[in-house]
Amino acid sequence: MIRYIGKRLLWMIPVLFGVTLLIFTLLYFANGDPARNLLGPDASEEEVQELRDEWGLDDPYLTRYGNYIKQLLVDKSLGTSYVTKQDVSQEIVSRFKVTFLLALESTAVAVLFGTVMGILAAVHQGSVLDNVSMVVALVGAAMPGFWIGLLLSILFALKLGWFPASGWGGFKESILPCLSLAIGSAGSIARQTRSAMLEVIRQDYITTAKAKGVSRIVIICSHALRNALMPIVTSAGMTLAWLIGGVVVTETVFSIPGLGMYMVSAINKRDYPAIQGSVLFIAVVFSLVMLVVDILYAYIDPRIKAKYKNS
Amino acid sequence: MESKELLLSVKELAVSYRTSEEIVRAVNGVSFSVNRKETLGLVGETGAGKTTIAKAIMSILPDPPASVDGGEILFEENDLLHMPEKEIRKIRGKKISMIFQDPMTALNPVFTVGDQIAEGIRIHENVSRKESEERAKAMLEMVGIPSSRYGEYPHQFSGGMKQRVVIAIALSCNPELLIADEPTTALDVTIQAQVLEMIGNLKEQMGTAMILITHDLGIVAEVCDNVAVVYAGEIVEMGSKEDLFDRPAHPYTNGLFAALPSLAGDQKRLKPIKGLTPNPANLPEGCKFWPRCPYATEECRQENPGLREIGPGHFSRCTRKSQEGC
Amino acid sequence: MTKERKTAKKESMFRLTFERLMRNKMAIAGLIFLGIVVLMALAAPVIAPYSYEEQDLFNTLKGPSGEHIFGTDNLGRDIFSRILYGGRNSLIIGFVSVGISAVIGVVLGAVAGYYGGKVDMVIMRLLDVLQSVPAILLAIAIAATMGPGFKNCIIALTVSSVPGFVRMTRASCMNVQGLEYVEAARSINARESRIIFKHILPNAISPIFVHATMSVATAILTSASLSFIGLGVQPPAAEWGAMLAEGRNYIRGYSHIVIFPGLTIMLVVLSLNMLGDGLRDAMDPRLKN
Repeated sequence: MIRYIGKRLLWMIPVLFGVTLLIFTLLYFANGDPARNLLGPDASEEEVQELRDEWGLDDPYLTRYGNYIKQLLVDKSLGTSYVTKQDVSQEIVSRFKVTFLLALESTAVAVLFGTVMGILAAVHQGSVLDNVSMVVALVGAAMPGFWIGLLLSILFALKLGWFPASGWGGFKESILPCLSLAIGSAGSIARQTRSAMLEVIRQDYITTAKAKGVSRIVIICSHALRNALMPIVTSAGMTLAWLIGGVVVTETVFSIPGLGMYMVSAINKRDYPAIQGSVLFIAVVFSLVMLVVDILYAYIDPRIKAKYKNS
Repeated sequence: MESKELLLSVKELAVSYRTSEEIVRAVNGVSFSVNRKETLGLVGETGAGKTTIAKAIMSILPDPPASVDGGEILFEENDLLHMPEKEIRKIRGKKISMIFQDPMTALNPVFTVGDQIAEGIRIHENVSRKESEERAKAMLEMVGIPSSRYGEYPHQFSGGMKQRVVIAIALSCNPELLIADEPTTALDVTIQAQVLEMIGNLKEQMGTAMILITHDLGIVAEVCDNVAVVYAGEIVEMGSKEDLFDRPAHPYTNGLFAALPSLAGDQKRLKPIKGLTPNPANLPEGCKFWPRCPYATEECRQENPGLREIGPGHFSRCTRKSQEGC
Repeated sequence: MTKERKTAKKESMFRLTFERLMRNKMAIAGLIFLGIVVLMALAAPVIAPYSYEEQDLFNTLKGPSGEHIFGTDNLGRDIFSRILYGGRNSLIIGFVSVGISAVIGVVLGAVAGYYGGKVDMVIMRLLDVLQSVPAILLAIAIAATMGPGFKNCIIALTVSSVPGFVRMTRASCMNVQGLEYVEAARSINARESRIIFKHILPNAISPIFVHATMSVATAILTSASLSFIGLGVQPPAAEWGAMLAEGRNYIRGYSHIVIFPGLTIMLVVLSLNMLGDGLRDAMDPRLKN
């Protein structure tokens, strides 16, 4: 198992190099001049050129990429922001705490509601409960998250005044953004769970359990759920990973000072080190979450554990 | 022979599968009975309704789409079809248990085989976790698996070994009646005989009655006391093994024997039964077998002949007088 | 003779799928609603009561009324008309980006799945890179560097949805590969291209088709997000997400300005998902619950 994890971690290195190359190349061909952007339209041509030289923006492609990689590997630094002149990694880590907390909270809510709804729907297949919860799930999954955010703040913040419409601080501030992220994911997790459960319930080993005289509730909660857990864990992992990237828009709606807002403002200001750093950072987190999901599989299904051992 | 004591009697059982597209009448008025310690063979082609009968007795038919349309199943004089689920659960796995056709899918892949055996014991025998484990280990040894493999998972076992585990689960609570649904079909030929012999021996030891579902007449000859031949959801012939093998009366039974390769005779070629099993969603009128029957008459197309007793305890669903030499 | 039989069989399979689809009320509802929205968007110049950029500064932020059934926005533009015109942009972005990425993805996936080995390895490693960044972030990064706009939005969405198609096609191809009828085709020395196009792809096509339907829904949602943070279609052109972005400063007191465009997105995405569900059930009834 440890060998498997080690191997997967090693695999991440070339992938992450690929990510740096991808984002670097994109930015290389991007239009817009970071120097002019920072100095404003009133700055003279010479001033702009001076800054360009300082940042090495006119060097050839390979030199610039080489310098970037050298900075990553030798200086172990994501660079200094063009705009704030601060160390990018420190800025990212402090912003990421906010984003990660929000993503984690939303995932927890989505998984809790999604799985319970999905299991209930599957167990009462064809009933009113099943139909209603599946319609709710479909509708929830069809709403753009930021629109849910807008509607929630119209109702709960502006009309009822129960929660603040924007900002970040304690638990109270996180409720509306968390809901606006969780509703859509809960919908798709519920649908996944339902179909996974229905698939498992039809399997022969469920009949075997029934033939042993196991009660319905034990069959569902133990025999069936354990087998249906794979797709549920997959979608939970996907949700968390997706939310880490997907909170960008929701953070904008609620003006939450997270990594998403940081990236959007970096993009608008053409702050290359900040953009590159954020994307690379998110790629690392994303890959780690996926690895955790794969490791969880091994604890759910002994067949997969055996496969990991052999590989 | 010991005195016969009735254990199970199935009367006029009818089961259908209903989907939005069609109604499949899988079992149509089947009646038979099993005495204690005896073995009944249910013989027929794939899709004849044998497994449906078995699942109806276990009351584990998938509902929907299956629905029991009529009849009764009396087990120790109680009707299983009208018993509350809670009561049935005490019988399932304890008094009646079942061995399934495909050992590859019959075991839960995420639990150890030992736990899967112990679970049944824990439910029915009111014993501690530790004792159920001990008994499960004993069951493993009994079916020829070293008890040290208690903590292994199904994927670590071969098909034949998995079927042994399934047998251990079925026999773990000393059932009165064991239903074995083609227990050897999915196994390699070399292992089939072993597994079959083991089932036979354990059944003798425990004094269990058995319903053996199979399409293999060779197995029937070896194991069964009585035989019922099932065709298109009906019993077409029923009697003692001797009746069936020595004096087959129904043309379908005759056809089954003619289609069997024989090492003794100097047969040049096998005689398959012509035609196909009828689509159970669209059964023929009259006798279900007439489209394939070489002796079909106009009468056969009109009316379904009932089961007639043609010898003591020997029944056939055919209007023809018993024919010699066919 | 053989040819006739083959087409007859194909037709009957198609017909069967279609008949099953027609029995699914949710799918029908989705299909009909989608059809209406597409038709209305196409016929926007005829149906729309106003132009999408016609401002009426005396009638800004008016709620729904007989004159403006969905009300007007902060510049006095008719929201209903803007939704119709915006539909053209949103739907084209959704369908075109998924169309292109499906073609690219299916070809790459089939090649990877069929040949395996080094080709497969290279393609999959490239995908690993693309997929180690969340799709929406990838789209944002691409849109940001290429600059906002209609065309770039399509490119961004295309790139971010290609990996899904590749993986899906590859998996189906590898599943079908081992089946006996493909071995049979190979055993009679059928050409490779023939095996891929005649034997493997048709059997892998139904999950791809379903995935494509659902992907259009995702693409429409993502493009709305892009527009919302200012990286999509630029004003004064109308797009559903962009309308939400423009309206968000006026939600205090004028909620109609964000409710109608959002509702439209939701209903279109809902219809696509219901249609996708229906297609999946109709194409492979075994999967139906």
